Amino acid sequence: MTIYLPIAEMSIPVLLLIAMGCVVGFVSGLFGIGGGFLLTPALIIAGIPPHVAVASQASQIVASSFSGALSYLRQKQIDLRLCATLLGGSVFGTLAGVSVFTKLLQMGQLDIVISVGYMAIMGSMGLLLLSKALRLNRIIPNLASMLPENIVIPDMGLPVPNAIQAFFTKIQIRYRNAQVLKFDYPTSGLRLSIIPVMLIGATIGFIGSILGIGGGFILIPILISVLKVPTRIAVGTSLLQTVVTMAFTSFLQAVQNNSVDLMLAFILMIGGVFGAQIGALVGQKIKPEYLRIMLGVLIMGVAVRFFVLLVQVPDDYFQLVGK
Amino acid sequence: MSINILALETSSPLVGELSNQSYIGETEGGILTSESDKKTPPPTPSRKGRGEEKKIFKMRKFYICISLLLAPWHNACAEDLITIPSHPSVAITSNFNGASLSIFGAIERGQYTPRNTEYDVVVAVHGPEKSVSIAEKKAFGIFYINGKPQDFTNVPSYLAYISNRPIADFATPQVRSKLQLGLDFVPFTPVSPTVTHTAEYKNALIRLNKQDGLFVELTDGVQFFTPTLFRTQVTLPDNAAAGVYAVDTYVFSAGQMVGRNQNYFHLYKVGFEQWLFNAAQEEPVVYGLSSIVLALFMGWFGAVTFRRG
Repeated sequence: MTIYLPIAEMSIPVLLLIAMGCVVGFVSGLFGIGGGFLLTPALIIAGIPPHVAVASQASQIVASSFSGALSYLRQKQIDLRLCATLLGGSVFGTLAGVSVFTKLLQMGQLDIVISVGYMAIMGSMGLLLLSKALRLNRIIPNLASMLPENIVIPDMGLPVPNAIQAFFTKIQIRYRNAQVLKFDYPTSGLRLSIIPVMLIGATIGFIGSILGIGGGFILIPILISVLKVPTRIAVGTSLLQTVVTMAFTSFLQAVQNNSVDLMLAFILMIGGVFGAQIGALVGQKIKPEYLRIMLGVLIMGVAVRFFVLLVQVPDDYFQLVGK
Repeated sequence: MSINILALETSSPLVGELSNQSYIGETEGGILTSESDKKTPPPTPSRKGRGEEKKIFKMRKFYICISLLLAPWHNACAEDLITIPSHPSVAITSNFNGASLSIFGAIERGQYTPRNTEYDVVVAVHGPEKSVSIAEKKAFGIFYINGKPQDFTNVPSYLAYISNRPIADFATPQVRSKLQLGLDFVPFTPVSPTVTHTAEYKNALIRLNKQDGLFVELTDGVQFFTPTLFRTQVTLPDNAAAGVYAVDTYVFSAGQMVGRNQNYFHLYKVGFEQWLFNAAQEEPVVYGLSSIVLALFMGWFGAVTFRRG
C-alpha cells in the first residue's frame, strides 16, 4: 500500500516509512540521541527530495526525543537550567544554519555540503567513540614509535582521537574555567560560566540545522567530557535540547522553504515513538561500554557510506538539483 | 451534438480548438472521483493564465500561417480531428500512485481525400512548466563535487511524444523542429549559457527526466481501431506535477501534417492532500506550529501508552 506525500509530490509504501520510523526511533531510545543522522540519508535513499527529507524528519525527531525526554523528566534527570543556557546559544546557531541552508539550496550545493559535513562529523565522532574500545590510543603511538626518529609528526596530524581529545581539553581549560558570568547548575552539581555553554549550544544548533540532525551524539560527549556533566543527566538534557532545537528547525523550514511534509512526518512518528520506547527499555539492559561501541560502529558506518559516495566515480556526472 | 458542430465548423483549425475546449465540460462519467463532477476545473486556470494565453496566441499565429500556407490545397487535404481524454480530470488522492488515461481520437477525411489514405498520429502531452537546475559533478581532489548548476526555465514537468510508428518515418526534421515533435526537437536552453557544452546539459535534462518517467517517447503507443479511429494511453508517474496538461494531437498523411487539435486534462490534488499543500504554502507559520504540536502530542502519547503498558 502506498501513500501520496503532498509536499514531496510522490508516493511511497506506508510500511517502509513506518519501518524506517521504528528503526530510527529504536536507535534514538537506545542511545538517548535524536537519530536524524540515520533518518535523513535513509529518506533520501528512499527517493524523497533532499530538502523535504531534511525538513520533515525534524518533526519525527521532535516526537521520538520528546517521548524519551518525558521519562528522563519524570526521573528528574534533566538539568533544565543547563538546557536553557544551551538553547540560548543554539537559537543563534540555528538561525544562521537555516539561512546558510537556504543559500546552499539556491546555489545547488546542498547535497555536497550535507555529504562532506556528515562524513567529517560522523568520522571523527565515530573514531572518538571507538577509540577506547579499539585501544587506538595505544596502537597509534606504538606505530609512531616504529617510525624513524628523524621524521617529525605534526601534533594535529598524529592519532586522530588524541588530537580531538587534546582539542577538547584545550577548550575545557580555556573556557570551562572562564570566570565571567558564572552560574550554579544544581541538578548537575556544577558551577559554570555561561559563555562556553552558549558557544556549545550555538555550534550544535548551526551544524544541526544544516545537516538536519539534532546533534545529540555530538552534544552528549561534549557535555560529559568538557563540562563534566553526569552521564544520565547529560543524556536527558541533550534529549530535551534536541526536542526544542528540532522543533525550532522544523518551524523555520516550514516558514522559509515550505518543505515540511506533515504526511511524511506523521507516518514516521507512528513508528518512531514506539521504537523509542522499546529502545529505551533495551538500552537499560546493555552495558554502557557496549552501547558506546555499538553507537560508534553505527556512526562510522554512516561516515563510510558518505565517503564512498563522495569518492566513487559517478555513474552519471549530471544530476537534477534543488526543487 | 457537439460533433455535428465540430464537423461543420472545424474547417478553421482555430475554431476547432475552441470548440474542443468547450467539449471537455460536456463529457460526463469519465471523471475519476465523483466529487469532481460538479467542479470540473476550467482547462486554463488563472494561476498560470499568462503563459497559457501567450501559448494560445502563439498557436493562433501559427495556425494562421499554416492555414495561409495550406490554403491552395486546403480542401484537398485538411482533415478534421476530434480528440477526447478518457478522464478530463484526474484527482490526486492519498493512494495516488500514478495514473493512466486514454486519449481517443477520430479523423474525419477531407472532402477530396482518397478513401484509402493512411494516417500517422503523434500525441504530444505537456505538463505544467517549472524551472529545473542541473549540476555537473567535477573531480575535486579525490572527491566528486557538484559544479555550478545550470538553470532551465519553462521546462515541462511532464513531456510525452506518443506515435503509431517512429516520428522520423513520416515527418521531416524541418517539420519536427517547427512543431517540436520529439524530445530532441524541443529547444531547451540554459538561462545563462556560460558553459561551452550546453548540449550536454540539455541531453542530461532529457536523460534524467526519462529515467524518472517524466519524459516519454513511445513509438508504438497509438493504436488504430479503424484507419480513422485511434486511441493512445498516457501514463503519469506518481511524481507528476499537479496542474493542466495540454494534449496536442497531430495527424500526418504522406509526410504532410493534415490535421491538428489541442485538448486538455487536469491533474489536481483533492481533499486532505490539497488542503495540506495549500496550508504549507499559504499559512506557513500556522503549518509550522501545527507540525510541532503534532510531534509533541505523538511523543507524549507514545510515552504515556508505554508507561501504562
